[in-house]
Amino acid sequence: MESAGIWALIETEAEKVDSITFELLSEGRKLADKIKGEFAAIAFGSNVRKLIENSIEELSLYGLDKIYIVEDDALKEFDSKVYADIFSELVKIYNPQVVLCSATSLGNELACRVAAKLKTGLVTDCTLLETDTKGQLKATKPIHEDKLTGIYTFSSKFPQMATFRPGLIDPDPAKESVKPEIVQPEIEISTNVFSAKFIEFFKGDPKTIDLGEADVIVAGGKGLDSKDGVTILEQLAYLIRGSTAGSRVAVDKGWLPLERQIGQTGKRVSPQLFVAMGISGAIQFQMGMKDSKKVISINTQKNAPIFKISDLKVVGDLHQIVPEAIKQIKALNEINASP
Amino acid sequence: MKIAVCIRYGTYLTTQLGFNPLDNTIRKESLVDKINAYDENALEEALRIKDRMGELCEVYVVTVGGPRAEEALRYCMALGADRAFHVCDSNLDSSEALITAAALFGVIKQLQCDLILCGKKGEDTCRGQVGNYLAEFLDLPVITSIVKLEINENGSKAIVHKSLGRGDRIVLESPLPAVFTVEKGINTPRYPTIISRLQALDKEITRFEREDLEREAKEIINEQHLTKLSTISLPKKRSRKVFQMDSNLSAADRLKAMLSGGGAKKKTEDNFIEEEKPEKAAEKLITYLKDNGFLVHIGQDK
Repeated sequence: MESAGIWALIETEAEKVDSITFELLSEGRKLADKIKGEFAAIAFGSNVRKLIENSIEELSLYGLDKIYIVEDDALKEFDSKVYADIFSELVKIYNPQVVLCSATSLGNELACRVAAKLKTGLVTDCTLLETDTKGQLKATKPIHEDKLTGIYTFSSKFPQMATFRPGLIDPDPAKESVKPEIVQPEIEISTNVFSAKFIEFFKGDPKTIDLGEADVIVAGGKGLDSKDGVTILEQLAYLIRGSTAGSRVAVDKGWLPLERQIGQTGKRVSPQLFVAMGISGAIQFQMGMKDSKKVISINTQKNAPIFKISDLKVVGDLHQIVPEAIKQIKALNEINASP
Repeated sequence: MKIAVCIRYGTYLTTQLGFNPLDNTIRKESLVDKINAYDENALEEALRIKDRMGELCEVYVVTVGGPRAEEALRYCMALGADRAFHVCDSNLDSSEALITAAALFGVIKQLQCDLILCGKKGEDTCRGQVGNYLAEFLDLPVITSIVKLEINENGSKAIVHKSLGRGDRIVLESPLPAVFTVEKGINTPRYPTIISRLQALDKEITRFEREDLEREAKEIINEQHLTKLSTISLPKKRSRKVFQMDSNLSAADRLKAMLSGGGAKKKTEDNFIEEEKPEKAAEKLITYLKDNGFLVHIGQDK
């Protein structure tokens, strides 16, 4: 059977198409154009037809030829086994060349289960997807904890699968609207589930979560000068949803509690963002945070060791720069909060 | 209760400086051979369950790879693992995730475990696939990125806290057996004592050749690689669509425009800020935060 082009999974949030799906559709559309093949989206759920119809205006701007939907009460909650069974069936029936999902927890789990069922290639968390005219995928993704980038090629087996990192590109809607055809194939839904039971949801309070879990950490050191400096730290941390921490000096001086100490004798952390202010960055400190994805340092000393491992180096006085930044961020929030 | 922990002994990059962009190679000095950090957390979690349950609990470690992986297994036994299993095949080192998972499955299926723990991803490949693949092969539920794990009295259910990022988490109840992949923040791994390391030198490791694995596993392993890492380079930032800023706008308006998606794109190499005026330094700092997605509007959280 002839291959049916590029497929992308639609994810939903609160009864609407999730915004990250439009990023995925933008990336997928490029591939469909290159192979001059069909571009289709897939959606599962208990009320998915209505959901898609409500979003059809926006979906029509992404060059989709078809949207395949599978609707059943059993699909109300995501269950990787049930969804993977249906997804694999659809793939076997329609034979797409490339299958894409967003690199969310759901997308990765589902893509993995489908790839394992079909015994086909999958590259997760991609930052760039390209293809040749035959549909041979080339997937670019970060490796070595974002320090390097790798390009993956696939064997000749189809489908070729990838999950695409959300939040990387802006959605790229077209100017003309082309309404896709909605197809609802007959698929048997397996009742053999073992879904996890949802118990509750905790919103993380950066003030109280363990530093090991924090995505953003704002740390202060000797340069804070006094306990008053901690206020600056806390204000910035609040504005960027970060957790406060300190170097050994800051903790020894009683400015921050022991459980917030970073370093060889403190905690080892690897957040997405580490902001170090007034910290020189001796090797013992670096050991505690060198695995951070991005490091911003603010220090008056141009030759501070911390700058060697920083992605953004700010030479200056934190007592002047940070309050100014706090002021500007607050002003921005006000601008955005106002209607 | 039997717990299987998947261990990966690999080669990891310690610093980006070790990469030479002129010939796309990595300097040997910046590479280190060790156990994947996330897997260490997985093993520690298993050992903590064993600490609580005592003799009723056995911890098995399983690894796939060449002979050098044996060192990792001995280390794990020094920490307290009861038995070690090694699919010894140099061709399976750093291989396709599906093949690694199939080899692990080929052993774990025979062990009949109640719980399987893995690190959520490898620090080098950053794939996060093996745990999911393994769950599919074993036909078990999987929950990824867990930061807390509690097993009930009779070992039939587990309560897990799954990390959603930014400290957010959901609490789920899962039946056992199941596969869970762990986040680094779940615990702090212990260290072995010298005596336990010496004792581990004599302990037995069960070796598997390809032939000894489950039939289904062998079929997958003998297939060609489905994906291949063909080139490595330094990270390149993808440019977002931007428009040029009108310099006649006030500073506040310019910031507002930047925040809503437009604005003059800063050079990616522009990572050094030394300004006379703190306001300018602060402005550049905020631009960097915004460009990298760290500026979350308070009051507009999802």
